[in-house]
Amino acid sequence: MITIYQQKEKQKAGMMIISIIVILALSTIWFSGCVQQQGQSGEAIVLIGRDSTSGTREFFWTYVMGKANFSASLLEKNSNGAVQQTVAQTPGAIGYVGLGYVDSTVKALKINNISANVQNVLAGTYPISRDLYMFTKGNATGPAKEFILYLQSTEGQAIVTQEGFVPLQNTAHYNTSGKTLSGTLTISGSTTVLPIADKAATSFKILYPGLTITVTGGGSGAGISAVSQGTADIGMSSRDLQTSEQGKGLVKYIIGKDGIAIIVNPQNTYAEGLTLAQLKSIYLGDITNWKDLSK
Amino acid sequence: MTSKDKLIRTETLNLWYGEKQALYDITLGILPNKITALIGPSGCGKSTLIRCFNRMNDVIDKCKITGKIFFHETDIYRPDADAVEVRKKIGMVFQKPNPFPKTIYENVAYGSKVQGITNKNQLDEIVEKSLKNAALWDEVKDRLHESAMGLSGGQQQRLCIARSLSIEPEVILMDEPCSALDPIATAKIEDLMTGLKKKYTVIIVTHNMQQAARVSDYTAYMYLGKLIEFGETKQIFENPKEELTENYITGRFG
Amino acid sequence: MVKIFHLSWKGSLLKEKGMKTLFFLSAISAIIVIFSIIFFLFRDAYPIFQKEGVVDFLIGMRWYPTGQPPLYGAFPLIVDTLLVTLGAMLIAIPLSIGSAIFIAELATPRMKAIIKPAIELLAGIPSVVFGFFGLIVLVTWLQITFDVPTGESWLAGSILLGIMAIPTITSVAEDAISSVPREYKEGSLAVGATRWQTISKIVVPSAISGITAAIILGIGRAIGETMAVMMVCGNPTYGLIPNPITNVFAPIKTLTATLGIEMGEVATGSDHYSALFGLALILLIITLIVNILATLILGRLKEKQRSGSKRLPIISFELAKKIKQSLYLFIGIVIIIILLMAVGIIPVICILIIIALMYYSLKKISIKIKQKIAFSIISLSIIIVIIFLGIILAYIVTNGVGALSWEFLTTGPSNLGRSGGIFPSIIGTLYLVAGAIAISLPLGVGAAIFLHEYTKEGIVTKIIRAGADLLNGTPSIVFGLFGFAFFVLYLKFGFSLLAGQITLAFMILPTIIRTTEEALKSVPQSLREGSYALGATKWQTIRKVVLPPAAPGILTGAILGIGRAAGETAPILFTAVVFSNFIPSSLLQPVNALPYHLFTLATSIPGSKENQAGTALVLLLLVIGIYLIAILLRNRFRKNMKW
Repeated sequence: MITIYQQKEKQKAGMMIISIIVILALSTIWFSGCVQQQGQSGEAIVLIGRDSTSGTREFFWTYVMGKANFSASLLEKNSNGAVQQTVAQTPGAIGYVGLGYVDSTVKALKINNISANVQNVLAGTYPISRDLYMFTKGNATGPAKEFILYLQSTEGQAIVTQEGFVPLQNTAHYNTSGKTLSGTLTISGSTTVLPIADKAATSFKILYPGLTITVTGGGSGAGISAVSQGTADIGMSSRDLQTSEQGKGLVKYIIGKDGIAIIVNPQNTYAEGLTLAQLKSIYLGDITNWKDLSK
Repeated sequence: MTSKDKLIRTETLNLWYGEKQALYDITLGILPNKITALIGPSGCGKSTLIRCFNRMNDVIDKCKITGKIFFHETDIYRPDADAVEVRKKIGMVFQKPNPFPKTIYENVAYGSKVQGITNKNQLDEIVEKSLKNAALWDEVKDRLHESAMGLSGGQQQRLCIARSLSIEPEVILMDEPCSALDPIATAKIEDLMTGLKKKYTVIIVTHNMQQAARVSDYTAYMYLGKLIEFGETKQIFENPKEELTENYITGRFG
Repeated sequence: MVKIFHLSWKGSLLKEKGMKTLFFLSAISAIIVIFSIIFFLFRDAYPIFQKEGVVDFLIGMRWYPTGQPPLYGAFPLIVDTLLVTLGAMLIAIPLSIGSAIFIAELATPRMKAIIKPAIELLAGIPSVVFGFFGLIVLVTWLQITFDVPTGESWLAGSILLGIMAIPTITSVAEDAISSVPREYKEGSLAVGATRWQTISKIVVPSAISGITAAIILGIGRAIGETMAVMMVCGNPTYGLIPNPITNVFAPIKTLTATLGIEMGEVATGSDHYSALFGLALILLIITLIVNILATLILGRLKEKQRSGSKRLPIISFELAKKIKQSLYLFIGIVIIIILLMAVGIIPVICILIIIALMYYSLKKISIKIKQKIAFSIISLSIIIVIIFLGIILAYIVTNGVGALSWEFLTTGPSNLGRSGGIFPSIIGTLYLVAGAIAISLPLGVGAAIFLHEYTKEGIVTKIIRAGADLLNGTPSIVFGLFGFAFFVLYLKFGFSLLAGQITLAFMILPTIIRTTEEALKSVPQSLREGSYALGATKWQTIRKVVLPPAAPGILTGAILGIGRAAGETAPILFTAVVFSNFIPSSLLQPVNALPYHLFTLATSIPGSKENQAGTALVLLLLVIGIYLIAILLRNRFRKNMKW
């Protein structure tokens, strides 16, 4: 008789399964041990900032940092919205965005004990604020000129206010005075200015139905280079021209003001306000834990 | 001869590939230490039948088998029978030489290695013995560690025979082992078969009637999935009982 | 007198020559494209190399283009790119190979009929959809589960890239395993090997060249992937090498992400602009090296398998074995030392004990139990893959289905895409894809006809094929940069539909060449000979005899190209797209496209969650739908192609 029938090997199989489970358990424990060293997540400061070509970042870097280098652990986001969204998702995060991007998902900190809001920017007491610009190649003409005039009017400035930015003072009403415009108008650039331009374009089109308007983001640098190359009629920017961008015949129009809000996660209980000096130390990487703030 | 004498015995074996029935009620017995040839026209089921003996049809999807095959009076298709154990006892050589893309040595040692033999001296011994039994040793002893793919077709087929001998089976199934070879290589393999019969039971599927007549002791003639006639080779070729067999043997069709 | 000279055939001869020239021109298009890419990258990168020096650029430790002074050190970006790829492969390779073995060897025919096309479909999920999922779900999950400051990290990128690479690696590896001759398997089973022994000792080693190709393909994809890594890796400002180097929770910044983030806003012509082209050049060179390596390895393996090594081995077998052993020992020691430095002595001892125990117990247990364990692990790997992909799909479907409505599909966005629909993006995507295919299909088919019908294998075909292969391995963001430098700036197309269409066309060109060639190959030579025997000319034969049966195959290739073009973001990011409610009326106007719309909503527009998921779902359905058509068509066509 030959043996071709299977023998019972259940016992051995059971042993093997048990040892595999033990091994898995051991490695899980070891792995979680490693992870625990990372510490309490809400306490470590996660620095969020804009990418290196953003107007907001350049302003922040010049004004708050005094052109000192950011901490190497700064995480870059390519739009204000991305910064806001990341701060809203991350307990220990801190970030800087245009005032218009502050909503209930994040908490804006007081700076030098001044709240970040439109009134304080207008009053000049809120310390981190800047102008918002539109650039054209040569003096604005045609639809571009009308659009900028519209933005600078009372109607345009109402949109600026609506979007949470700071309006210009002493504006007049916009008057179409029977003009008709046609053709296309291309606007691109700063993501900070984008919501204003987008809304203004919608209502501007009601005034001039024959006009096609394209509004795109991309950032201040992209907008300025687009307008100087002629691929856009208007460049939006949240910063002034850099040296490399000067001398290309660009003309600047101020369309409003913006405060830069310092935002943290709503769960953050360590800070309600910061001084400019504290803010700088945080972004320099000198302070890396929210607990160290109170020291 | 009684059923006790038979090494392999099938009982009303039926086989389907999906919806198509390939074997009908095959009942035959194979005697030990003899060469049994399965002949018949293409598509008659002879390859299918030989692949049943070592459960090689298990590999093919949608293949269904009823009936029984006894090996040493043990049913190899019983649910708890292990195909791997069956194949250790019943080796197989295929139509096309199929050495693995490994060295000659590795090809022959493979069967022993998978059964857990790791001792190098023991493996060397097995390789040498198997290659000698397959009449290949002298041709390859100086290049055991070269790729088997560099051998000629006939050498490759003998290597495959050596591979199947290496695990010391009782039966060797050969599925048209010479169909891809030239006459000289074929003659070598045929010589080899006659020698193998002393130690092993050989079942060979062949297209070539002269080959069946030359080497086999028993011959089974199959047609359209049915076993038409089975008997001693001499009787089948010289005095077939069935008309179908006679037609085939005399070349009137097929 | 019998006329066998051309004299009386002038017209048709001219046509023959003309067609041949036309096909030759399309064939060299791939080479022209790859050379122009290299040329333009180099041209625009040159100033920074001149200013900073190539070596300083490569080994500089800080990337800070807007600092004072600006720093252009690509080293951390290169290291991060390699790290995230390494992590992705650690996840993808075991799971993919397990899945491939499962599909090829263990699955029942019915399971195979479902799982195989499903995996192929998943290869079509656009990377921006993965990025969207990663940004919303994976990053938050990591942050909470592991209690780390931020989930945007190396690990997040690796997990996402790993999952993305799994379908590609699995389907190529599965093809390789399935094409191992059945004779090998039968030969192994016939000597009493178990199924697992057959798989592990015969089938997988025989398929190793195909599996290697699959892995390298996966590596190439992972290195060049932009959108997903950009969305989940955190992107620390100077580029940061994790400290310690095994800290998988460190945020990292890859080459592709740096390009994706900074390219859009950089002042054209500045040092920074030039430096970004330098990064693209590095990226291209890394992927080229990976591709060339793949070709070399494959060539070596094939040669090794085919030839009977007629040459005498340089070193004896025994010596080779000894060298191998000492090499393994050396690698083992190196790994242990790295582990020691990374995690300390106690865990290393634990690991060694565990490995020793496993080795010992594996030796003890029977062959059958080994098979059971192996099969459970393999089944587990495909279950994990299905769970991974299932979670992603389920998330997108459940969240997106709420936004889906007729209005969503037919109206434009309002309030920066927070409300309203995605009609302009759908139209934009269709425009882009239609243009891309209109350009690449004639070029690709012409190139394939030239390669397969007009030339014998030789130096010319080798060069053209190499060009197509290189193009195929070029990261999509590099196409984007090239498109920006060449079409947008040099040819002054501006951000336009046309620039996007041509860029996408170049990207899908290799896919079309390859699939068309496959289709032509499947037309038996005897058909052509039959036609020639009747006195037909070459072009007549191709047009009337070769192309009709090859048409379904060519169509499949075209559809695959459409699917890829529809889902890609990086190539159009700097050439064509704008985030707006705008439908272009000319080729020189910009467009919005579904993947870009999703990318912008997900990264820049807070409070647009519902429309994000809705857009993701529409994009997913569109691309998967296109792939489904291609797969069904191919399966039909394969069935019909039994000659």
